[in-house]
Amino acid sequence: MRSWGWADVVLLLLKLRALVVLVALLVLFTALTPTFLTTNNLSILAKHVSINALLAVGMTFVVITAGIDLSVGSIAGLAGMVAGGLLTVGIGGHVAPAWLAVIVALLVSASVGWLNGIMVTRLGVAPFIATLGTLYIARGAALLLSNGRTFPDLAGTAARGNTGFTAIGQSFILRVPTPVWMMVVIAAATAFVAIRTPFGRHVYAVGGNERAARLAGIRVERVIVWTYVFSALCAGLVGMIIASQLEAAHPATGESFELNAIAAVVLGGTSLMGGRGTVGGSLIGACVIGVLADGLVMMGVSEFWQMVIKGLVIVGAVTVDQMQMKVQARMMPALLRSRSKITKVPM
Amino acid sequence: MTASAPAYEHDVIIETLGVTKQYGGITALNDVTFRVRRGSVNVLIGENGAGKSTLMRLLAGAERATSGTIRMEGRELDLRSPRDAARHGIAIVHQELAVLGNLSITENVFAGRELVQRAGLVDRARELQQSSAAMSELGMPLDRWALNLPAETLSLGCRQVVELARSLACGAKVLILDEPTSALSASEAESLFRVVLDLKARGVAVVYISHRLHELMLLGDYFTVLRDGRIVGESERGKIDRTWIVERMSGRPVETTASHHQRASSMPSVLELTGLCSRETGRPAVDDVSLSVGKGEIVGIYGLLGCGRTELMESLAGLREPDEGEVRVRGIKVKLDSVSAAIRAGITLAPEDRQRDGLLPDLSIAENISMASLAEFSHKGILDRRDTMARVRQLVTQLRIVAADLHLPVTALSGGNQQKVVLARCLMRRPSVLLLDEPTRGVDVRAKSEIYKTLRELAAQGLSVLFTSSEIEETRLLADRVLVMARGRIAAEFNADCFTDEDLFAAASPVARVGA
Repeated sequence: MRSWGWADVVLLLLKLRALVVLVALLVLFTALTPTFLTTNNLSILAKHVSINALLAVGMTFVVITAGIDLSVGSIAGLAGMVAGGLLTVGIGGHVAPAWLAVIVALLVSASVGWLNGIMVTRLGVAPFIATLGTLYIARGAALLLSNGRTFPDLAGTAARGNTGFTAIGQSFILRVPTPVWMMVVIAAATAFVAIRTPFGRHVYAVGGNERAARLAGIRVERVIVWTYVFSALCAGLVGMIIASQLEAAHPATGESFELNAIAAVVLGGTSLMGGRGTVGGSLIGACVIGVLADGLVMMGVSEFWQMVIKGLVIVGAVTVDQMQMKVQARMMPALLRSRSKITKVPM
Repeated sequence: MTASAPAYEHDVIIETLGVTKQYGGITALNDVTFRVRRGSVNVLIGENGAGKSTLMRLLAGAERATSGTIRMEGRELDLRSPRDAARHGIAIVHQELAVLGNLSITENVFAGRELVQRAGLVDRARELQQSSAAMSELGMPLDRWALNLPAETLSLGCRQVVELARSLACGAKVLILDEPTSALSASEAESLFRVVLDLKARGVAVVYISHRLHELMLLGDYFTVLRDGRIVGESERGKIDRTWIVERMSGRPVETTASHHQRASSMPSVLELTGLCSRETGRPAVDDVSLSVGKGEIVGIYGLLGCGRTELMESLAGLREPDEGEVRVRGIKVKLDSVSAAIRAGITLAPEDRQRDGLLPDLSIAENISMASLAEFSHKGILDRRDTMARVRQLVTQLRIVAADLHLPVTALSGGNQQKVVLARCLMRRPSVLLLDEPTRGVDVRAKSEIYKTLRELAAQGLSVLFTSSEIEETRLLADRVLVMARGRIAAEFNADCFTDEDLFAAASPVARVGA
């Protein structure tokens, strides 16, 4: 084992700064508001966080490939409407069972993601524009499905055979809300894919240097399309969680969710320039945003000030991010000299 | 050109048969039959723009021929992608290194063909082990920690080794090296040569492209010369000499000697440094350097990679403020705390890596040249386009930049002409001191000699030039006076024609200074 130098400690703290901020916020709010650290509040907090975290985790790969997905909020709305419509109105008088509604809604979401990917790769549309387009398209489609109205009564009745949908957002496993489990499992699986599979590595390669990735034989287009499909699937799931919790599908669900998700991804240290970032970071980023919002509400800070503070935190985080890169670049030669046993070639 | 292959000692492993490649209306390759032989070094020679890189892109599957076929071991190949080529055992190390900076060394070695274990997971232990073995084989033994470093922390030379390790690890049968030594120091190049000879002994067919003739003569077994997209000469080792190569390449005799300026002892000094120090995280990168460059003098700094020459250039260009020491331009002390301060003092730098630091690829040739001088050509904030273009045209003529249209993107030019564009931009500011960091990296022989000639003319008009180089030949041809740098210090000084290659090399080698 090697001994730890001061340089390693500084780098590690900088790397884990999102986590440091999160812990600091938790300590602060616990100290300032007695009701913050209660099971009830934490349960509500976790439910809120899970929505944004699922979107952020899903979008992380897209952002690592130097893309962006503005359509996630609209996809969430569309997925909820598709599921709600199939459950309550159905096709030709036949309503779908919950499992079928979920699968169809996920397929619809995935196809919007696929469209994003195809536009970005085959048609050469910039990710910002392509997903801005699908933001409107998916939202419009959601409104068209019900002519702008809400699909109510998603709880269903045993007689119509359409019950069970509410379990997605309302049930508990081991006294923890199911959406929170979904967030944990999906985030863990995504982090695992990022680190341990060829696909994950290809995502980083594409974001780092697309040309070099192509020359290395990586199927760049395929990788990018899959990142958008995955992001859309996560968004679809979020849409159904919300519809399930409300027992109603509303076409405006998920409006401006994409901005919170992007904020979480960026807070977590993922670079919008691509090539750099972690799934765990996005998860922590979503937690920071959630805890901040929840804590400020409990402290009675006005909604307007909340927005100002959120904005400052995001900008501050990215500023620190830039500082980290500089510090790292400056310390690298020293680290290399002290730590590596490179014998022949000067680095 | 499609006659059967002449009988040589080695058999053909891969060949292109009457291959033609057209881009729009331009024919990059015209009916080219190029044979690569097993267990030998197949040298491909040609000026920039002759079609070498295009031919290699076809072999590497990065592009497809307009007509003609590629045959490997007797079977016809249809290479649709770099992946296809890799599957057939064809690997390429690109001139503009295709290293993924954000991935680790190990991840780079296996990029695109990760080793997987059950359940489709990356087998990191096996990857580490194999990449470690491959790097050791290339003379760069690294420990685990170093193998997990992001490749962007490595020098250009080391990145090249990483690319080589990539081809080694995939067991390439055909290895294409496109100007592999253009970024390497002499010692790194030597270890590369050893690797190439080793690979050859193991039966790998190496395709070697370089502008450095002594390398080609040293390594080459078979020689093919391309000019304007056609093969204009083929021969084998022992039957040719430098003149054969140079004449076929250019289609005319090439001037490689430049007459040296007789340095008057009373030449007034334009740039003068005393005790310049620049530290990089505590370690002195430039250590107590004093030197002077006279009016109209060309001073060369020879040194290996990492000797501090780039840091010295950056200090003078205002990119890193010196920690100690004094810089005087025409006798006046200047504070070089920013690039604009250096430019005000009359110092301008043509950087080493023109793709990264020099050119704006989306802008036109004219825009690239005038980029740094727009303020000078503006009146009340409005750019005088006619004045600017007049000056640009003058520079284009002076530097012999060959371009059909100055409004074309700069990327349409060959490497040599791109380098001239960078020079033109520096000169447009009418500097009194021109700094050049590796002035002819990745530039072909003829463009090189043109650049040397232009620099001589400029010096004769009173421009002072300070350049760094890792090529002995270049230092010899260009410099009136040579300083050798090693470990951040000036290790030796020679006047033009008063040194041998060995003198320079010995003075530059850090090994010779250990314990000194």
